[in-house]
Amino acid sequence: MEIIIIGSGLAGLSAAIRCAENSIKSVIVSVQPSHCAQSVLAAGGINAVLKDNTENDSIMQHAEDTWNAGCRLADREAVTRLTENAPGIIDFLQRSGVIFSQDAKGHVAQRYFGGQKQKRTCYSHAGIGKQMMNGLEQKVRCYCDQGLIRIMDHHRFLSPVIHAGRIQGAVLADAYTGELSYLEGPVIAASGGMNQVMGNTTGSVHSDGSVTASLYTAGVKMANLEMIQYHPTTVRTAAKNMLISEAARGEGGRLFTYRNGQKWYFCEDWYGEKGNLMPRDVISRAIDRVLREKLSDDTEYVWLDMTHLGERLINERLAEVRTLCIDYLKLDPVRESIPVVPGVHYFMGGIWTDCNHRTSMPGLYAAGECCAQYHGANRLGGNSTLGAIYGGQCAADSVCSDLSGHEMETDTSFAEEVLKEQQRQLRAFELLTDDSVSKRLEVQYMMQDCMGITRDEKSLQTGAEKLADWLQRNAPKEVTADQTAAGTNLTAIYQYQTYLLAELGSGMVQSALSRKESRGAHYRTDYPELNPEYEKPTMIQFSPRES
Amino acid sequence: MNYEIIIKRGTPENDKGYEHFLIDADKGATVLRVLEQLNLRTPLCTKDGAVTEKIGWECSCKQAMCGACAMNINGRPMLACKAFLKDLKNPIMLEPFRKFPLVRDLIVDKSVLHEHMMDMKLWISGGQNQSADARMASGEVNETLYQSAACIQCGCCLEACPNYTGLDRFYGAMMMNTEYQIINQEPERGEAKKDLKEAKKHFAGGCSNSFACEEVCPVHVPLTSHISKLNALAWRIHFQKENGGRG
Repeated sequence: MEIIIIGSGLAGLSAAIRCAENSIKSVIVSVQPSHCAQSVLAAGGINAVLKDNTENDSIMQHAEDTWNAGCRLADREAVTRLTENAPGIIDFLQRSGVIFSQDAKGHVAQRYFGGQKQKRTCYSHAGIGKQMMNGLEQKVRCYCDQGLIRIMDHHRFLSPVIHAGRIQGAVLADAYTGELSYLEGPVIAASGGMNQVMGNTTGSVHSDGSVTASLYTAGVKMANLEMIQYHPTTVRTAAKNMLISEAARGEGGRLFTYRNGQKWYFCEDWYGEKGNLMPRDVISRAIDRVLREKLSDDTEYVWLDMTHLGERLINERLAEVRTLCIDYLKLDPVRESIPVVPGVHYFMGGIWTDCNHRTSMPGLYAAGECCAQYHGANRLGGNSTLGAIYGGQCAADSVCSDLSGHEMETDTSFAEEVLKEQQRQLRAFELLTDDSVSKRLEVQYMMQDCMGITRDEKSLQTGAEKLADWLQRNAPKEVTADQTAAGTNLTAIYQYQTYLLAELGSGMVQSALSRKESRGAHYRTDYPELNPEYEKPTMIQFSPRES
Repeated sequence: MNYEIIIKRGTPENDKGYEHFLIDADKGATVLRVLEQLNLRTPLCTKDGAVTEKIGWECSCKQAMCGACAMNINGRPMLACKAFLKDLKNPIMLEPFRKFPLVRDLIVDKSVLHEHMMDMKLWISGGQNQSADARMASGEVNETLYQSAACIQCGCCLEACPNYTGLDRFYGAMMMNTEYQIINQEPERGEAKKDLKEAKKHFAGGCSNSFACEEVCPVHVPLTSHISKLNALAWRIHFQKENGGRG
């Protein structure tokens, strides 16, 4: 039996490596190979208080900053462990072949990032994600060679196999053919954020949220689903909102807008000299206010100015940002300011886990962006990569310890039945019309309308009603024996997952409705104050709607 | 502006030939955007009005960082997300890579890349007896290693290479680039006779210096520089061994 790891990004690879270190076999299941995982997009860096830097900084301060930025919603013990383990993770990454940028002494270089007063973010130019994945992929290959890790690319997780109250396996679909298969073993979800619930995020289309949605509808508890991070600096392109790394401001970039033709550095004006490095939720709301209240001459975007940093520094530390602007915006940030707007970037909420990354359902563990751990109501830049790697390790340790001593009892006799039931569910979606892509867009537009940077009862209520209506209209039809399939299994899978995403979206809106206060990324114009009564995670569990 | 998009369709079992589509698109749009727009059409019809299946293609990041959407565009290996219509001759021809097994339409199976890396044991051992800092390369070398690790494994270099076929012992630029990175990160590995033999087996005599790999690399990895450095290193070690360890 193998541990089934869903997702091949930082969290998934980290979990597989830790299982292998514990001499436990695992299989990494993902739609695309690891070099296409969203983790390769991580730009800014990874936070850790390194021993050379303890004069000015401390691990306790890192924990405090993380917890405070998350508005005291995260599990404090988990956050403390995360920050204590951060220096060891940097060491592990170096040994795995990750290439970090260096300071003058040849040590790992660190820079400023938002919400932190010390240089704590280790980086690799502006491409830390690619470099970290390159290192972890090497480790994974090494363990594949030893027979401890198996790779299963182009496979999509469809549903958990729940038997006797625990998750005992997973139903997968071949992403090339749509063919269903069954894997037996405990599951670690490391499947990333819920990008396809919201649409047009800075992330990958494959971190779609379908794994989370499937687990949610199977009864796994979720936490803080309303906490969606809008990154302050994204740029609009025809294909997507692309991220301009916080490193641009960490290195000295300044946000401004034009007011009566004059440059107005509104963040510095409102929050002081270091105003551009306030936590992301604060800056995003500031930009939103400037645009919504028409405080500036431009109504579509504000500007990020890096021109004063000089070509040499930009090439040395922000080359990827410059390339992105030149390729996709046809502007050179060495000479011109960048038009930026806030965009959906990260989901702090997701699958609820305890501080050892066990979920509410035995046999299921979760790590990385798909789980609600470490970041509370708002995530600090440089903590997602750290949380993913550390979370993967914890989840693996938990699953290994739960297995130790006794081989988990599994029962494969029902596998055939499970596959048959899954195929029956899919067939019900095959009968729906073929406008599958537009159907998913409909859900995303409803979500964007009500789950913006600012929210209120009325728009959330309207969103909830529209989603309920959509779910009713698009409910799968009962299949009779004489009906033949209209589409292929692949189309049916897409439709089936769209439906689950809409259910998850509905859960997000319910969570937002239930938090009648403003905290971190969740800002309610009708409840603008923080309310101590809500200083706890928003928990939600799916209950099937009556038909 | 109106564009005609010609797409190679089908599977290995069912070759459907080329289908033509018409689309009115902004010339600043990318090929990726065009594919998204075409697949939004219900039903999707060819230029002649025939109803056809949605187009099979892959993407992940949509911003030239993952390599998933690599395909031949007007005969040149490119990323669909970084191919702007204004830079392309109209009509625009989209075809799957030829050097990887076809799955469907523009999708190919690139799992051979992982197999090659496994075959060549492309990983460092990450020696535990040394401090992690001591493993860091000097500034200048660190820079070239960074560039080497920035490879997005899209396969463009292999598709463009006049010598790589995917079927014989020559593994091509991507693996040479990775070998260069790993030998530099773990110099003692480069000294090992077995590794040198592996490198010779898969690289020596295979490259005919067309530099096509570097020409098409969408993320500008200086492949030819890394390959020549790898060759120089391999031969240096070879001569050292021939001379009984005297360099």
